[in-house]
This record gives sequence, C-alpha cells and structure tokens, in this order.
Amino acid sequence: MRKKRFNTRRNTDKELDVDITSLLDILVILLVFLLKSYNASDLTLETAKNITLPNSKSEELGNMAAIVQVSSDKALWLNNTKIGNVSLGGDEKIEILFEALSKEAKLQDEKIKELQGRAVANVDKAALAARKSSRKKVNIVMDQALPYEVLRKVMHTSALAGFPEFKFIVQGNF
Amino acid sequence: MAFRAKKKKKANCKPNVIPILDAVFIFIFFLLMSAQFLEIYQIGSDAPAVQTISEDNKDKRPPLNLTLVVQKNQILVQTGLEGVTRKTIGLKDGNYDLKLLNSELMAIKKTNVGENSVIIKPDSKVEYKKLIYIMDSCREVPNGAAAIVAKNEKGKTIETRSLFEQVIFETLI
Repeated sequence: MRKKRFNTRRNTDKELDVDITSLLDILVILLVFLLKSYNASDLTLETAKNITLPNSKSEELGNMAAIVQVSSDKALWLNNTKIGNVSLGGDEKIEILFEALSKEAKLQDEKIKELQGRAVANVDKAALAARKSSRKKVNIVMDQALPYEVLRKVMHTSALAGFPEFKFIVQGNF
Repeated sequence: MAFRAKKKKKANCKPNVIPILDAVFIFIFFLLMSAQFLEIYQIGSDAPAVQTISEDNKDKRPPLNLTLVVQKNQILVQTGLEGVTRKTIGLKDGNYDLKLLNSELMAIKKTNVGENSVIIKPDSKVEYKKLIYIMDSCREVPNGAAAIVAKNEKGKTIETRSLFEQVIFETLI
C-alpha cells in the first residue's frame, strides 16, 4: 500500500511537456495578418457620423494636419468638434469654418514659434519640421454622396483661412 | 556503433522557443496598437497659384492647359488657352466612361510627357465620389496597360506610369 502511494507521487513530479505547435501556428497567422494591416501613416482619423468615404486607387499615405469633415446631413466638423452646418447656395465662404480655421492657424503658428525657441534636441527639430510641413495642409473628409458645391465651399474657405493644400481622404484598396 | 551515436543525437534535439514566443507576443501587441483596419489614403490638390508673367518670360510653346469640364452627363476634355474641346466623354451604364477618359489622357500624355497638371472644372451638382474616380483616372496608367514611353522637350526618352498627378480645381478664389 505504502509503495503504491510513493509511486504515484513520483509520476506527478515528471516535467510537463506542453505541445505549443498549434499556438505557434496561430501566432504566425496573426502576425502576418497584422503586418498586412500595419499603416505607417501618422494620421489618426475618427470619422464623424454619417460619413461614407469614397473609394480610390490612391496609395498615398495621409499625414497629420487640420481635419475638416462634412457628413451626409451637411454637418461640419473641425478636428473632431462639431462647429455647424454647411448650407447650399449663397456665399462661397463658410463663416463658421473660416473663424475656426483662422483660430487653428494661429494655434499652429504659436506652436511652431514655441518649437523654434527650443529646437535644440533632435526630437524637437523633427517635431518642428513635421509641424512646418503640415501647416498649410488640410485633410478633407467628406461623404461620397455630397455635391461638388459643398467641396468647393470648403476648399474656398480653407484657402482663405491659410490652408491652401487640400488632401482628400479616401478609402483605399479599390 | 555508428548507428547508436545517431540515435543519441536525435533524442536531444529540442529547441527552446520561449524567447521567440516572447518576442512574437510583444510584436503582436505593437502591431495591434498601430493597425488600421480601414485603409485610409489621400489625394492631394493645391489651390491655384496666380503669377504675372512678363513678355520676356513667355513660354515658347503654347501651354497645354488640359482642362476637364465635368458636367452631369459628360466630361469635356479641353486643351489650349482657348479651351478647344478635344473629346467628349459620355456616360456608360450610368457612370462616366472612365476607360475612354483614361485612354484619351494617355494619348495626350504621350505628346506632352513633361506636363503633369490637369485642371478640373466640375458642375456644382456632380457627386464627390465621381470626382474622386475622375481624379484616379487622371493620375496614373491603369494596371495591365503598358507604361508611356515618349521623348520630352529636351529629346530625352522618358518612361512613366503617371499621367497628370497635379490636380487643380478651377475658380477657387
């Protein structure tokens, strides 16, 4: 009886050999999938409600800059903050957008000045270069069904407010 | 004797994969954080710049001034300062015949290989997505088609797959 109990204890002391081959297979598949969906762009975009991006063949990666969004119900957003609505007809310049973009331009200029003042380290220099290159750019995110009139008004107002380089944000893989 | 030695070697062959697994796990978290499941890209367009040209600096060759007048039912391909209509692209299955537009633009590029800008003049009611499709057609030679090979103004042979990458919208300011 004693001998039997001793024997069982010895069996459990054996090194557990877990087969991780299947786990490794899953990890490799996950790795390949994630590598495929990796995007080197520094643009982080939270699309507003009721926006369907148009499809495009473009493969040019987006960059961080001021983001103007117009949804299908013509609601207007600047950098994820709703600022008003676009109306069809009337003046080409959208006053609310012009004011908001002018404030944004001032903010960006102040940040550039601040960075210029302390641009000693390489990190600051890189940040300053990135800010300077994106200063005149505006990312336009618009619902695909909207008419050109809305786009024309947005571009016109952006150019007047000091953002003459337009980047139309589209959905790739078309 | 030789047979025995071989058997021993086989029994000890078991690689330690734990460090690799650790690295793979870290890599997966990093990729999960930076993954973007919606593939977002951009198409660039600048506001037109105005410049006064003196008589001395005038171009020897008349400018191409390639303009696409996008109307609701057709696209007019115009060239030259007078805006002479070279081709009219109609609708095909409810959409603009973009293949025809693309082949026309390829023909224009062959004779003006140094040119890379196109002016788009759309009607107010044209949908945004249709403009994006037109811009796509203007930008490069479609997959499957041969690259454009032509001589530029200096007589140098150029091979390119890009058409008119610089898209400008007319009458902005």
